[in-house]
Amino acid sequence: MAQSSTVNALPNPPTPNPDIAEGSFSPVAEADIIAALSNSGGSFPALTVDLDFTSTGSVFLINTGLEALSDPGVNSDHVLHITINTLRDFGVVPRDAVLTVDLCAPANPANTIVHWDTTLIAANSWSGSLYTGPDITSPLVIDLPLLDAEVDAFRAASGYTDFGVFIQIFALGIGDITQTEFDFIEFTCPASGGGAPLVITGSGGFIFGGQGLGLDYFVPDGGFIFGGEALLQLNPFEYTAEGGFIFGGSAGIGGNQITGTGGFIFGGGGRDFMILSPDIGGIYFLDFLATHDTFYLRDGFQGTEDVKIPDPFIQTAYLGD
Amino acid sequence: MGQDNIIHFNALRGRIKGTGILRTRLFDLDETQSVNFPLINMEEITGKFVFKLINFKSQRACLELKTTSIDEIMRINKLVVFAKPIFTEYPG
Repeated sequence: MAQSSTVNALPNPPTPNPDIAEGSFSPVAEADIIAALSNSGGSFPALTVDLDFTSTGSVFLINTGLEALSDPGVNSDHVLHITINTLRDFGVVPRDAVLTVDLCAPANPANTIVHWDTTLIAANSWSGSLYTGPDITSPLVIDLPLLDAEVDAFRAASGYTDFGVFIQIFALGIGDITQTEFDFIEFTCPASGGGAPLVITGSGGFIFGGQGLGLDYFVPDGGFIFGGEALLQLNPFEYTAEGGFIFGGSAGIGGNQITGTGGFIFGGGGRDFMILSPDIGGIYFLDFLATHDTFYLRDGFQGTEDVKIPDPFIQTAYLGD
Repeated sequence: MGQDNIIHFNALRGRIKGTGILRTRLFDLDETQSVNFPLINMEEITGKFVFKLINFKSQRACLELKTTSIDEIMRINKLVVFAKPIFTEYPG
């Protein structure tokens, strides 16, 4: 899950320009942000940064630590969280203050894929005097869920290994926008290789496993899996194939269901080939109040499963004269 | 006694309690024919004996009582099968 890093404000923030007519902000030290993200252990970072407004916007470069191979096609439940801790001290006569967030891939605002904006101060707030109202919704929390199609678009445009978050505030007015603090940014994705199931459906498909491969469901016709050093960890594992082949060099397969017709499994000299549950069983545990049988799961699975006693019956001796 | 007459089994009466559905049937030697009693919905408190009619003719009959679903319980304290010899033998 997210980790937190902190990047301090610029040592020398730019001098406020009283004549700024349109303000936006830029990252104070993009290199520091990138460094902080790089130190986050490849997780999805939460970052706190103090920002200064200037007249130009810029892009925060985010590396989510996701690799295309380890996150195969899981496109659901991606959410960008932005928390603006304090939005205040405008020191300007703002009008039409609009906060915009653009996600772009790669880090180029021109490649905006997701756009989000909200009006912070309405257009009729122009009054000729400094803004003295309360903080604007402090903290302002933005949850920006990404549609599956948007995630797909990210992948098509170079994946998640590096994408940009472009944030701007446009505030028409007179004066300067002084320092404002943003608690920023947390990006959450499904766990790599887990979460939503991956379904591969095809005819005559091939998978050559290099160094790692995690799938949840694999349903090919005439499919081949050549596992070099791959660990095909399918959990839950549901493999259904017609004439499928699995050549396991050093591969290990852990799962719980293989159903095939005319399939071949060649196990090399490497790891054991394990097929787990529904291989369930157990011994009888006597309980005179029990009205059913109980299976105790094994081979790494825990818990029990209650099943009926197989049609208990009573038969008398033959009745007759 | 001991004549192996053909007997008409015609009813069942018993003290039957439990939960679920009790499936009851009669079948003859080698189970060449069988007949099911009407299903008996078992209850924990009945206050009466169960009485079911049937029509089954054979030299011998075995009474089977069975449940088929999980957590069904049968508790039987008394069973009476009503029968009457009606023929001495099958046609030669």
